[in-house]
Amino acid sequence: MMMQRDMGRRRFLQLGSGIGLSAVVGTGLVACGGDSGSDDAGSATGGPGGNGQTPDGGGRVVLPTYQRFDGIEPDLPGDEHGVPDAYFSYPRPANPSTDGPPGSGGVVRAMFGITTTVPPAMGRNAHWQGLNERLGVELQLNMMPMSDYPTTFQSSIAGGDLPDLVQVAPTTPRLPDMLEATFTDLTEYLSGDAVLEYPNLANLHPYAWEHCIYNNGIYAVPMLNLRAPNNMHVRQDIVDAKALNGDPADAEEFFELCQGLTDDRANTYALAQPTAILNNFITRMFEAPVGWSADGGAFVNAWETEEFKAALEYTARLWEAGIFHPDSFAGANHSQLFRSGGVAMMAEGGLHYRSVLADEVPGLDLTFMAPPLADGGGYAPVVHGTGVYRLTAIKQGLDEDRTRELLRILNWLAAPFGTEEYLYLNFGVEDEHHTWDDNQGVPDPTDKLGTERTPVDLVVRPPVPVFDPAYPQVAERFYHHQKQVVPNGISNPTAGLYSETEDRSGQAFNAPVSDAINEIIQGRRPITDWDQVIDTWRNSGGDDARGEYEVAFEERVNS
Amino acid sequence: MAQDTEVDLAEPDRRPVLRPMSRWQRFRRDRFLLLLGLPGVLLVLLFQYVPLLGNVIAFKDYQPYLGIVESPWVGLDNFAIIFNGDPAFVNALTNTLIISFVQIVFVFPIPIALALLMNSLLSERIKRTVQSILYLPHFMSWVIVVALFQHMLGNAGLYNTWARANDFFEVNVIGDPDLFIALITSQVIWKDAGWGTIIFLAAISRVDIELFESVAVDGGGRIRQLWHVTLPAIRPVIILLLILKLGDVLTVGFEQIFLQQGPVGLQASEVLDTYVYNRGIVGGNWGTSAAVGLVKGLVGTVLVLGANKVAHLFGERGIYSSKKDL
Repeated sequence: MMMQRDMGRRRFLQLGSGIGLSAVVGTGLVACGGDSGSDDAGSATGGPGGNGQTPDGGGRVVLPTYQRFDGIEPDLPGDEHGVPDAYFSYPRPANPSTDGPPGSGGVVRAMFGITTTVPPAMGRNAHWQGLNERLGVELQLNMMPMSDYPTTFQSSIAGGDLPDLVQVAPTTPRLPDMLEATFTDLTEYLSGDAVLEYPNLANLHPYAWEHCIYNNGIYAVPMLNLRAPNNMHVRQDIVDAKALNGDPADAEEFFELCQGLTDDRANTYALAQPTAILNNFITRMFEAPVGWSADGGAFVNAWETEEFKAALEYTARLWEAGIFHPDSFAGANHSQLFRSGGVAMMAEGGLHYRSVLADEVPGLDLTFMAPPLADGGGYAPVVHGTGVYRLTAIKQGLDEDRTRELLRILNWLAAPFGTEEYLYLNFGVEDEHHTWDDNQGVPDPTDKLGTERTPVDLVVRPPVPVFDPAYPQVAERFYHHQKQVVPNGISNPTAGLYSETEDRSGQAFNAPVSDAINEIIQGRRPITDWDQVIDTWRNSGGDDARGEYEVAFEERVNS
Repeated sequence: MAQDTEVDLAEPDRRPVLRPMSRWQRFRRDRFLLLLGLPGVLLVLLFQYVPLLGNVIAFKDYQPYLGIVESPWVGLDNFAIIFNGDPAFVNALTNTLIISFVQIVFVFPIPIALALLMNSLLSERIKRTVQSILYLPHFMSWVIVVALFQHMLGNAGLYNTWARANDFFEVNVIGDPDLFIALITSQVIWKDAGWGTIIFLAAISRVDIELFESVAVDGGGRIRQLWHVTLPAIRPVIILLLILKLGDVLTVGFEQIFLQQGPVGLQASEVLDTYVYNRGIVGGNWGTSAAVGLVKGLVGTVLVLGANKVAHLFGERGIYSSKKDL
């Protein structure tokens, strides 16, 4: 929650610079990819789901049974913590994971925000038409930029005219009651073994399903995100050119690396996102909690800890040393700067590296950095997100047959890597949308795919694989980075718990703290003010939220 | 100043009517005109007046998924943030009023001065070119304007980058809380001063040329023409726009400020609109947003009506006048 304001502003500005001065598509991805991570970490809204619990008995809804798709063997295997599978070739021929079109010939309407440009309309889009044919329905898709989506979503809800499938942001206010009042309770279709009728949905991780449970019912299907939603991206070519140590062992070595990467006369800096770097990297180095920590049921906010204060002080030191791009707080477009070499490192969402690679910047060599412990002695535990990027819910008032048809369609769309369906969804038809590269055994996209691909992966998607045929080396690095950081991660215990105070007025009592963080980093307020800031926060709502979380936490433990 | 030199542009035709017509007769006479006006009236009713009913959510805990009717009544709870002396609200209100005041003092007169300057240009061609150039920024959205300012004047912008590389002095305007009001005021001037001249130029162009000639005959120079002819001629327009501006005193532009809050912090930059957005809309508290909007609307209306009354007391027309005021 605390990042939401920043996100809005940054997106505005990036769109602005996008229209005027850089590329729009890339910036859209920046905003969404990057912030999903921060949203996840600070999210307060959620259902009564838990982390890593197997809920049965006690009246709590049973999670969908997890049945991993084992159709093809990954080249580098992932794990149950959320390390993604990595592949270097695509099976040929690819086998289908479903039998025949799931639809019964009618129309299916869906509404969702997307992170790429809107593809051509159905009449002029062979990929979309082919999708209709394969699904056995006519898809009427209302797609729009992610930044426009919340407004459209709220007005559609208010107007009551909803399509069959609706994308829902996990940060939507009053989420539990809104879902219950507006969307279908899918518990009887998906809970426990019932989900096995839709094997591709049973292939979605249980930790993601946890975030589809609200008011003790399954109200949505998750759209998966990587488990470590934020990664430090490094321009290894710049690090190498300056002969620096790209694998710092502690806070001091990281500081030296940053100093080495900064040359303000040449307008190049090490970093550009003080708050994102603080929340996703530096707080990790100092081992502060993520959002809240639950110590035997007593909740402590990260802001209240000495670890956070130390991380904040360290970030202020970085700022004072001129390591951050001087327009960092004024909406400097870090992703663009990263491409141009204006900054050498950035914290970004999981798959954002793909859009960086897609721009084919000459000489750019991309690696990923795990945060070192501040005092040395190994790597720090990273932030575990919810593993969910968005949810997709089914509107209320449909009969059972229709609901099952929609679930079959979602099942088709969630076909995992290696299947015929996945190949079509992501690479289209051979010779039209891609050619086959026999050397590597991978599809090679044509320009037509780029324009036409219909991004229904923003409705539902399988577990995200690591598969970058054009950059197998970076893909392998990314896999190893994930394997290094994901098992060693911590998550926010409030993820999945609901606090009404946080939802209603969290923005109001958190904003002064976020503001103080910015001021302290920029040296306009001394770090000694911090305790006072936190006292105010406690009195103006922080303590109320704490109480509500503790109660909700206890209920979850006892159920 | 003699009363007879004063030019009243808006003076209606006052030829004596031979015999007063009844309401019905006037209606019959104007029926086609009224018919022509009907679609416009319907549009205004439908899109301006009917939506006013939605203000009822100021007294409810409105949630889109419940709808206006089903959402529970909460009395005056939504107005609490206005009256409970929340320091953040007081800060937002103070900033709004300061910015509004600064903009009335510094931004409002600039289009007038600019219009007078442009009017004194002799060459029509230069005048037109200057006008076009000055109008242009008005058509840029705030996002673009803010991005432009940042790219030019930002700490890593065009100028400062050059200055650093050449050991020249740096100008750190963006991100300095003390210069925030100056920054946004200059942006408003840059963007809208040219556009604002249109109405004044139109008013000036309607001044009877003979009046200027009379001043010249009496031996007056350009300054005297300005003082005794041009300014009195556009005075009603100036007062009209000033009164309308007062109606907006609690609105200082959401987008422009929201986009630039990051580097300067809330203490310097939070205004009512951003406060409502951050407290209301982001947290799904639609009722609170509506309540503040309603109060802003009321304050604006009171200010406009009050200023209009004051204008009448000073013998001006204001934005409208009833028979009894004349």
